[in-house]
Amino acid sequence: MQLVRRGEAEAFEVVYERHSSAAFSLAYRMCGSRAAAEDVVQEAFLSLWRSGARYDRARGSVRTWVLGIVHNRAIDGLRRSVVHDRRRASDEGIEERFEARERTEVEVARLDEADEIRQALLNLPVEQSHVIELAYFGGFTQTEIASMLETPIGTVKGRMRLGLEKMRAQLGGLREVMA
Amino acid sequence: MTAQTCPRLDDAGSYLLRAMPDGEWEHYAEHLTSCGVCSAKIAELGVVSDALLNAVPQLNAPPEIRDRVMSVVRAESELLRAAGATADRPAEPAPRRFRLPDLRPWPAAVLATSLLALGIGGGALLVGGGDGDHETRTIACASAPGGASCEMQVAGDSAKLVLAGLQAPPEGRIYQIWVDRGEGRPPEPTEALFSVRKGRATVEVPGDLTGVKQVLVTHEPLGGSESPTRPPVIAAQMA
Repeated sequence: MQLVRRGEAEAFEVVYERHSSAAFSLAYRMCGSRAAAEDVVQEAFLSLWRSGARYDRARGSVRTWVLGIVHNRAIDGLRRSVVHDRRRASDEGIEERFEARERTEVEVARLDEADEIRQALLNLPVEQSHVIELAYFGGFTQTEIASMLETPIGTVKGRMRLGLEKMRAQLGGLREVMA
Repeated sequence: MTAQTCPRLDDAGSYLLRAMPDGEWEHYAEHLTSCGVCSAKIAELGVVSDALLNAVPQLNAPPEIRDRVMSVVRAESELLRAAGATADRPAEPAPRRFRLPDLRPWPAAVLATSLLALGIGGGALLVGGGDGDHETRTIACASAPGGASCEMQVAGDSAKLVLAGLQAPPEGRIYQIWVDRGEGRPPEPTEALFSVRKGRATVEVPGDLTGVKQVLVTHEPLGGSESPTRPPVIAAQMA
């Protein structure tokens, strides 16, 4: 990352190669279309190229930093779009065409970890997993979720916190696969 | 608020999941700077929200994104290099960082029309000199935008354009140098992409200049082009 800070394109290319598929996967999960996901990933990587100096190693891995930017960009994009016109309009067949192959031990470890996290999410009471998914992957605000579910906003907030606490308990030994 | 609880503790989940509307999110972030209970909860649950970033089916990124991103990154990297301490001094010859293969032809008629529109005539030899190894010739550019001065300094097998009073390229575009070897062949792209600083730029013409008849400058999309997308704004004849 020091080389990226100095504006070295080759160093940035390494970061791109290492994290672009995870970034695209997250963006596609959130946006639901290939075109929108491509825009998000492109914006996100150019943003982090131009703000490489803001990466703080003490606050997490490069991967988390990259995916955090993608997540923020996707949410911004979703909230700019027509409210509630965010139903997942999945590009038919894209999962098959772009399905990632397992290549390295690190990638395998990450896939295992991702499976574990997804399972922890599935193990939650449905009302808790639902609000987490709507917020984190759907980009909906707590107010919108309360309205959609016809539930008091305080209840929505409580479900989010409780859901995360239960996941934390399930994933007790969770440790990020660094790279 | 006591050491064990805070009325805003339930906001921790909403904050981490970014479910708070803008404004409220920043307000809670400010609250975290003074509330140990909430900040401890954020630290505890932040691991989960970070992990969720990876908890999606993994796909391969389409290669087109890489091409688009890296073309911008390379162009901006060159600009960063040029904007450093040596921005107003001649650029060092740079290793080729990218190739622009498979040239599409630039119709000679378009080139001729463009150069005529610029009122291009022959360049004038202004100064002859030398540094002992190579004679340096300074040639006035045959054409340049109004208000700009342009000359090309040629020494041995290297050349550089020295520009002043040149406007920055339009937003989202960058100047690119081309070499024209004549004989009906299309201009060849070079890796020399540049902008100007206070209207000034000194740019080495990279590559083998053997047989080059003239050096051209167009403004192109960031990352450069394989063939010119705009008529030249500058033309400098080698002889």
